[in-house]
Amino acid sequence: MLKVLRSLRSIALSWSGIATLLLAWWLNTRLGLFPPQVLAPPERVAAAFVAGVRSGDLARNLVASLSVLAAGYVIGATLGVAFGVAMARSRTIESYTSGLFHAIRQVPTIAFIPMLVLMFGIEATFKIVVVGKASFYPAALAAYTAVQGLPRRYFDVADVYRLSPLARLRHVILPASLPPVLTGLRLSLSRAWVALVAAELLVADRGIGQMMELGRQTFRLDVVLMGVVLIGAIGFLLDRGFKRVERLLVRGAPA
Amino acid sequence: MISPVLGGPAMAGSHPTFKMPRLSFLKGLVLPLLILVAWDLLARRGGGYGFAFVSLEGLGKALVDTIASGELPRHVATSLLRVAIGLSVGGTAGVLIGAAMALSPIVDKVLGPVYHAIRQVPTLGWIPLLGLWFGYGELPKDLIVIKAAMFPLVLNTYEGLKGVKAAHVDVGKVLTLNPLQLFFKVRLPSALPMILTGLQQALAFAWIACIGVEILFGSGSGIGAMIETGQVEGRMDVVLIGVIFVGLIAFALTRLFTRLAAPGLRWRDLKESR
Repeated sequence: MLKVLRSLRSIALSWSGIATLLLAWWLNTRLGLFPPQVLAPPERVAAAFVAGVRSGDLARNLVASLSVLAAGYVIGATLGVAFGVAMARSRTIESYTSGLFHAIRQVPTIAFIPMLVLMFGIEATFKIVVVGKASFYPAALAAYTAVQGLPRRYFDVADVYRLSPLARLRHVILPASLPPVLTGLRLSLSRAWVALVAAELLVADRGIGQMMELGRQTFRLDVVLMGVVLIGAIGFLLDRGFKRVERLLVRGAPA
Repeated sequence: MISPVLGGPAMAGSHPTFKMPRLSFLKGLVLPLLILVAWDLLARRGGGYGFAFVSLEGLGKALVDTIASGELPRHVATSLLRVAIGLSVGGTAGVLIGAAMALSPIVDKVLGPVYHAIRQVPTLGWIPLLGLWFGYGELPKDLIVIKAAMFPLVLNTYEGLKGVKAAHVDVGKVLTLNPLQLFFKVRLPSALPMILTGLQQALAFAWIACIGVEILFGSGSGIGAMIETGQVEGRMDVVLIGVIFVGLIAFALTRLFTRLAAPGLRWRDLKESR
């Protein structure tokens, strides 16, 4: 009995913070302390969501954002892993490229956005480049550190078996460095999402960020709030989904 | 007799270990130089590319102009001040909240879910909302940077204090330290490296958020605002100078922090190993 009470109390406590926020929100709008342009009532945010779903606007923006995310991520993360492995395995490549690599790393992706706008305009190409740049770095760094950290004897064994460079990559390097590389790829994905939202907030023809920016310009606080919840939820789901994939892959890999 | 340090290039030949980094440093310059040359050629070709690519000469001239007019120093000062505000306000709040969450299970239960819910939304995603609420002044920008600095410190302070070894706390209790002494003599010192790591992240995030918020608001002063204005006006030279300075300052800030934080960490290591 005491146990039940205690767990009830714990559940109540862990919801109390969020519940207080929601209640304060609802009460504020109920009492009309703020105009709806400043604090839209919860039901209006929900209504904006329903209207967005009905009209297909929301789906269109979602598809626009997610397809750019997918394209940029696949390109950026693949190049990142390839570059990281190459840099770890070849002294020559490392000595020629690491200077530039680390110099560019100092600049946050967002600072490149205006430059990329000047070079590529504001359509999909520009956004794919932004997402690609954001995905590239965590993937490259993770692959570089992981492959550098592989024990020397793995390569001795590969030498004994006279594995070709390709077989060495496929049967030794990739499986052995998989877990840390996957963690890097997950970081890449969340960085990519943040960068995409930033790019869309600044300039874009479509996408979730652009939807929020339009909402801001037209004082549609309900749309802005819905956008905040959506980008949070999508980021969360992407990370969760990747974690699940990670667990599946790592369990399947040889120890 | 000439010491090896003063020997300079003449000594390099006799010390292969000295030669290696110098050679690889030169190799590291090959790629950037190639890019610069290609860039300059594209700029000189003019036409459709002249807009996006600015010649090195033009870049140098713009750099001198922006420094001489006091424009660049002013923007740099604004951004640095914003980061300082963000770090001091957000950092203090972050450490206090993280400590409260680590020490009190009730605070942890109540604030934890709120913290993690807010954390899901990227910092810059709050910009349209804060723009609507607080307009286009300095306040919403500072708030975003404060938020960016606060969040990593909450997490790291929390983890650091939670990770204090129970044995250490027990020893403190045996020595009849009161809760305050226990916190300042046992818990805080052992959580310090974690908190410093949090501070390092906070510094990086605050800088990124500062540039981001200035770019996205696009008004007022700050390096980000300078970059964004440059983009709107099609001035690639100004944009590039901004980007280069963002990178240089990020590098300098990280360096400075490592210098300043190293004594704190070394002090802890000594204690640990004794």
